Amino acid sequence: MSARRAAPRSSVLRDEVLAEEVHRFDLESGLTVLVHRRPGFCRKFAVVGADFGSVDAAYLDPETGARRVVPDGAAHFLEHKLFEQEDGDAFEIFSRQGASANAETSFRTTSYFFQCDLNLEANLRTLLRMVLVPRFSAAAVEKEREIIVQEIRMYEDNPDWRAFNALVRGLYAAHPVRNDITGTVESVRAIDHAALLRCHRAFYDPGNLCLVVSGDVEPREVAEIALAETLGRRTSGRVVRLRVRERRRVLSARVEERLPVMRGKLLVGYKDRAVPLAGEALRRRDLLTAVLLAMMFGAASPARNRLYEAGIIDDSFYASYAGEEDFGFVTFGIETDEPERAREALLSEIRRFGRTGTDNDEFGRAIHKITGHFVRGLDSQEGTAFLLLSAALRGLDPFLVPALLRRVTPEEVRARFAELFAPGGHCTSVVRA
Amino acid sequence: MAAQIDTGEGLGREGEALRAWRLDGAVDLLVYPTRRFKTSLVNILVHRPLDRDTAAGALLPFVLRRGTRRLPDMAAIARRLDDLFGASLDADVARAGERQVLTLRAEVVDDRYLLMGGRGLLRQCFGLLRDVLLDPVLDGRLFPESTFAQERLNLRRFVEGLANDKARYAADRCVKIMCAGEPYGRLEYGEPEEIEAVTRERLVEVWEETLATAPVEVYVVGSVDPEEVRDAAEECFGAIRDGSRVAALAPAVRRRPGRLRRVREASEVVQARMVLGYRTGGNGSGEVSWPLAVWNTILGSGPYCRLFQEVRERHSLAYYCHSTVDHAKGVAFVQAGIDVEAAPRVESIVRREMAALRCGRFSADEIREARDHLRAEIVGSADSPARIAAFFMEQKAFGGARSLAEAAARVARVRAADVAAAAAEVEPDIAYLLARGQP
Repeated sequence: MSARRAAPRSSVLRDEVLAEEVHRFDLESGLTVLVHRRPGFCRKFAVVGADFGSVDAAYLDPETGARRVVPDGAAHFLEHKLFEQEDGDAFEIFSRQGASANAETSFRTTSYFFQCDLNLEANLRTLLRMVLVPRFSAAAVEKEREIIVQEIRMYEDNPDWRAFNALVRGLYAAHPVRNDITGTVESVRAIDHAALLRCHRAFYDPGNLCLVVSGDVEPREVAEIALAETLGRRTSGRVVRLRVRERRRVLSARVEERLPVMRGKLLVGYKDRAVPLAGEALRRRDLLTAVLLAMMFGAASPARNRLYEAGIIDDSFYASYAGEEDFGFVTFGIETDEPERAREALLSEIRRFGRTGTDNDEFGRAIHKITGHFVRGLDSQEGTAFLLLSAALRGLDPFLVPALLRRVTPEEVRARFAELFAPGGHCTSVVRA
Repeated sequence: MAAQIDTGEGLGREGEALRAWRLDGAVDLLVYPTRRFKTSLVNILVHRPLDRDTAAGALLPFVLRRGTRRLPDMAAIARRLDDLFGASLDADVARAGERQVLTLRAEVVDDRYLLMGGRGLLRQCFGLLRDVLLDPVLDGRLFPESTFAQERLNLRRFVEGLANDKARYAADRCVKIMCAGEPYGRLEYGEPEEIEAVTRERLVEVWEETLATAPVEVYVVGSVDPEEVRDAAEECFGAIRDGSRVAALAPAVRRRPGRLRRVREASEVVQARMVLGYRTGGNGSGEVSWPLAVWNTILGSGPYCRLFQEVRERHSLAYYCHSTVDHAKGVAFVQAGIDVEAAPRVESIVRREMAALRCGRFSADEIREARDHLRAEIVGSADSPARIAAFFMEQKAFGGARSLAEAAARVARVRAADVAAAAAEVEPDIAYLLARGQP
């Protein structure tokens, strides 16, 4: 006699204006399943995200309660090794089933994904199995090390990567965001089989994972597959992460690297003091920052055009923000042979914005633009799946963005400027020949 | 009057049909109405040969987007785009076989998804693109000196900066050496010294010549009424009406290699970059050869392929090792990032795998998987406005399948003997290595 399986708890998230529909299932195993319906699309895109990234540097062992340190680069190393399966490499299994797969590790998350048009069920099973159960051997860990060393060497030739990593190390004194996501050649050499398995036990509990599928699929069928693959598993709860105290001021005002580049790189980073934040407060911080940066340095901004016409910046210029609960920073990037001059011009524009403040037309345009970009982004299955994943990990409704943007006021944006661009909060990173 | 033109069968999807017209014997308009996306896309493509004016051609879109008579500077254009709910306007230059393709691309959110108002956004984008292409700010007959000088400097710096991406730099160097003397040996942006040599006078001449003689195509994908788009296009692009334009550009030069050339160049790189260049067979018109595509998919297009599995997974010799084919030109490349000492081993693995494919040593599973991958890629093209436009562009330029369904059917018909035959026509031309130390 078999016990009847209870249907998983489910809910539907619908947005009438955006014409989007997402079905959510909370399985007993702790796994969250989201299905984004895309009628008329041939491709199916699926991603499993583990709430485990390079910033998770220490935690309490869920079994013993002991304090554990994660070696630098372990989340990324584990990402490589979970592809190893008993019957061959998961890349090959996906390929046999008509799917293309890949994975990536960020500050916050490790994601494993595939796209296919047929065989969704077989591919979903492969994806869930490889993430839930590690099958790699100690010998395979040794072998993988050399591949990762080659990967790190490849990045070492990349001036953007070098300038960015140096910048984050200049901004942060203690927070693990300052460690390269890949680790270093030395730290990777120190990672062994046991350390990777410990990380997997702690961070790949189903309660720490979220599956998102986008395509013309039947939500209940996806939930059934996920249920079957996690049957009998119970979450042991969210792992306790140990955070470090980070100072408010930056560690270094200036960092520099030498590389045989044709053109130099200048990055200026501003360390956010609006931490720690979570949930809606975190999203509000991010949206206000997006509006602020669009007003300050968007294509329509006076500052951007002054710098462009003065020959200080070109199309390679960018202004972006990266942040999670307990860290955040703005990055301005300029390709230049005259980093000092470019830096002075950039800082002077930032001061000028602080003095002259916000213009209502510019504010309105920035809101329109960000709303339009958000809506257009929903055309991408990958983009939407990652949006849903990130919203789920933060406990947010992803489709509220246009409504939240309508409620933003110029005063809030001004206040955000004062908070983000306070004195003593920036670092300059230069790469030159 | 716009004449209907026959361009194939669209994507072969029910309920969606491609409509196409030749406007006044000049501009070709291809409209693909679909309600599956939130974005509408307008692509204006201008086809030029890769020739001594390539640098001037490359400079054109960047100078044109600096301002129009109605919106005289970039800030004014950007404000207009923001008012259109963050519509984008991108200028770009690409290479398709031995053509230089100048692109102006606008993407705009569909009116249906905006609560804040916003009506007729696509039509407004159309007008803006027209102004950028045909009605730029001029100082007398020429582009303004300051705009011209700055964009020329920016383009030169951009091209010089490409060397910062070592994988790309090595691939570009390999192409230039392998195809020296052929149009394909030119970078689509021109060389720094060629860019520097462009004058204001020459740039305006190239703009005028291009509009008078180059094939111009307008692609629209989105929730649109084709007749309305046609009327708007006639209004906007009616000024381009020279009947003498080149209907098709010359097909790419095809060449068989002589002895394998070995080139090593020095650069202060941490990781050495290997690029192996080949000449392939395939159709002289430049259309996709499906047996060759299957060959490439078995060999090295992705992480499930032989090169990745052998070079990376089995021998831990590289982080990346992959192959690409350019059907329009008839060339193929294998690229890897390696330790310089490993170069002979990697090369011998590549040689061994290629020999195996020539002899038909691949399993039924491998060929089936490769066909599945290509089919998924083909049918997946229907899921993105940009890829839909790209499919129609390639089909128009090089011929081939008349719909996605037909392309998928052609892939399904590829047999092992076809793959071995395609492999037999692939001949090595050059082995290029970018590494530290003396060559």
